[in-house]
Amino acid sequence: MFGTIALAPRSIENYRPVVGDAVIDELQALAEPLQGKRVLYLCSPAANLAVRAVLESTVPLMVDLGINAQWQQLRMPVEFQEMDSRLRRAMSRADAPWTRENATQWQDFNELNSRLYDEDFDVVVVHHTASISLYETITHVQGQKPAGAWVWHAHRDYRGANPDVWETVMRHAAGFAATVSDYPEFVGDSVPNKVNVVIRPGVDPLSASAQPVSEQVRRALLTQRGLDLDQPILCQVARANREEYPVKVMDAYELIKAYRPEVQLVLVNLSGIESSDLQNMMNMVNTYQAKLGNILLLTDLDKVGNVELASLRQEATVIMHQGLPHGISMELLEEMWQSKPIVGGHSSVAEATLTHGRTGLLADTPLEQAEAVLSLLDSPAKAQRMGERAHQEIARRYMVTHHLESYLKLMQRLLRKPGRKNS
Amino acid sequence: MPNTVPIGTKSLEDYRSIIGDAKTDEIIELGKSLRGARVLHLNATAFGGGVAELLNGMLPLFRDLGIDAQWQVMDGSEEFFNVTKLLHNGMQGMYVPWDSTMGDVWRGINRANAAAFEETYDFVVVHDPQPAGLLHYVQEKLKSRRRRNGASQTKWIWRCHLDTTEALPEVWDFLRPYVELYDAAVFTRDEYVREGLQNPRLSLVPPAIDPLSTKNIDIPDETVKDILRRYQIDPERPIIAQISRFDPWKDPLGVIDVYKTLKQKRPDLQLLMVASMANDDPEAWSFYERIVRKAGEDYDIHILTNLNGVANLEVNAFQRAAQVLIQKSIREGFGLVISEGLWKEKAMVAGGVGGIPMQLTDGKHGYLANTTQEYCDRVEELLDNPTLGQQFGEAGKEHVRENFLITRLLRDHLALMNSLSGLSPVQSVEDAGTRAKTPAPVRARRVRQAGE
Repeated sequence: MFGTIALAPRSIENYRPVVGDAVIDELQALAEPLQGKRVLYLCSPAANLAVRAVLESTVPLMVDLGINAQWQQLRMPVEFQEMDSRLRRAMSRADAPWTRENATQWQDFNELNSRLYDEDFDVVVVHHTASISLYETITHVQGQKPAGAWVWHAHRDYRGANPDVWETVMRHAAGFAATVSDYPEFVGDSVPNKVNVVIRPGVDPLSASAQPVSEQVRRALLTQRGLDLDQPILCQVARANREEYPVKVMDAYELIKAYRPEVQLVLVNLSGIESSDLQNMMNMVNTYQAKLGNILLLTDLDKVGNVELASLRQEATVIMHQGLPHGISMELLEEMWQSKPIVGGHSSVAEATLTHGRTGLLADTPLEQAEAVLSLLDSPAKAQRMGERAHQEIARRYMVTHHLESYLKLMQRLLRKPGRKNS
Repeated sequence: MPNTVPIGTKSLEDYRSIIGDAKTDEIIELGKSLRGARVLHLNATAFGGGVAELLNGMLPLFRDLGIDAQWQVMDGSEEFFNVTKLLHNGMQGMYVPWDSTMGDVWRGINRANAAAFEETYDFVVVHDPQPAGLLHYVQEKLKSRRRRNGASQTKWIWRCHLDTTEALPEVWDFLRPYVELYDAAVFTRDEYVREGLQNPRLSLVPPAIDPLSTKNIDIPDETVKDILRRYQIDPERPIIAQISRFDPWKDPLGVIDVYKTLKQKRPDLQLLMVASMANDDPEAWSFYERIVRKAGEDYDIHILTNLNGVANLEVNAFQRAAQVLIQKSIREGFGLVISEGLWKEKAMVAGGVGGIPMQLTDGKHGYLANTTQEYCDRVEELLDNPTLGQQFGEAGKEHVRENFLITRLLRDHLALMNSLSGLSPVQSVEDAGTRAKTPAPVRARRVRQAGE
């Protein structure tokens, strides 16, 4: 078996006051025919925090609904890590390199993990691109198809994939019963599986990061960081590392500052970047700080956790997003859940999640961003309406209960199908 | 040397209410003669690890005193950092196949960094073995430019943060000639100073915690409870905790044994195990998995990491929430987590290894233990007798206030710099540090040993 991830139990009953009786009753009814089914969620050690956050909520709630759900983690020895990140990049960017040697490593990686697979499950959900050939490799290595229905949950926007790599990867995806994507646009129809569904990521309103923080705590934490909570705060939390993200935001900040000198900017970069890149970023921010003032940069060095991030989010007047990853962002969804007005860049996840002018604003250049932010700062009523609509959008489509409901329906559908037993 | 790390801002005055007027004024006084001095701290990384955390905490206070403190990170290649990882491990006593090729890689990068080193400083503090060769190559460069003495104005200090008690002789012999060029060498503990080290003035400066960092700052009980509930931990039931890396040297599996033994008598007991994980470290994951397997389906064992969004504030809350903190170290560097716990007035049971006994005197600030049974007995005693735990905690806090706060670290550095520049007698360094260190006597003793 693979490595098991520690989970804290969750009770679906605790969600009744948030989502209502009908939703919980429906979930319990959907789970009824799935009682005792063995479901494995599989990710890699490099899985991003958004994927982890989804699993942290989903798996214990599945257990609470009577399903024998487990979360395990694949083995990723050091020699495969470079291949793994290369494949991720090649599946998102046409110009990302992928060599013959990488292909061999990919095969070796799957062979290693296929030898560790020694249990039977009714459903296996793979949250890892490089493991898409695991079903095929297990079949080859163990001499028989693994039991159960296998699902590939794709968390990235694959529209810009290197076509050769995409084609190769999809050739090895045979055997998977279904593909799940977070957004309809991200995968399209080119996956070989018969079942191709969209299951959106879900906000867990009771998670450590989504719960509101008391004003007393917010004030204590953020004033210690030097923020003035009586003046407007712009905030960006970035999990992805691209040099232009903070620069674009700081260029926008310079334009905003000309009209609203009281505004403060908080840049949180938690992308785990290498020290030399981090130093470059810190130097860059320092240059802007010397010129404009009131910029707070928090990085991995500052060890900022859920509660401080939640406090920042709550106190932010406008949230900016030029640093979204090439896949799901739990930050974005939780900010919408907390009714924050958001100015997102033209990234695929922002475009897929925010409706421009309604649940947020999409702006790319510093000038566009500055205009968008100023329009929200100048009209708090507009900002509030936008935040409220963002909250409604999450309540309507992006709750953890929606996510569970979709998965329960998918599992029912897959397990009804004949011909999914060992052959 | 282009990798300058920005330094935040802090005010020494914010610490006055914590350490008192006398200590604050002493620091200000020590800083006066160094006002305007250019001080460079040089290390291998801007983040991760205790050195970066320490510099992050201390350098803003240097600046607050009017000292022009700067922090730079050396340039290095992947090959270099692979070599320095071996160097680091060898210095800490692990067997590594050290050879001349590795030495060449280390020299090459140090030489390249020295070539880019153009600015002049009053003090350069070089941290750990990675950039330790810099001084040699700076001197070589300046000599080749026919200057009289390359480092004539600058005082160079080598700061070793490693536990070098059992350093591999071949590794230490490689490094020693480079270290001996320095004006001063600073170690954490007396035991870490290798025999035979000649020339540099030796100083002992233990590390310290920042009482105003998010990890240590006072937080109200309600906040503590709020944070616990976010992680499904019951604030109304007793908690024991170990906040430490998931590796064999911290014996997390043994901690679970302690918990399971106590759980038989105290079914309401909860265990928190909190660590930081790097997602690209298979060894750490492998150990994590062993811990999770051992915990099984006992959901009163809470295994939490940074990947659950646990960071400084959350750790602060977990430490404060625990009735007893455990540090079941089999081997330890300094183990500042002890000072963190004592600063929060916690009852602690810890292994008597590394720097732990310096921070925690057995029977006065908590208990030192060796076997799992001893841990069980001591933890149980403290759970049964909260008054005793409180007494330990209060005594421990005062011990930390006196010896292990960042202001003491600042004072030690200032005193050392003063003494190196002849601005105050060596004695001031001795007086300034904790009672555990005495620079001049250590040097004398070591020199004597070397001559035997």
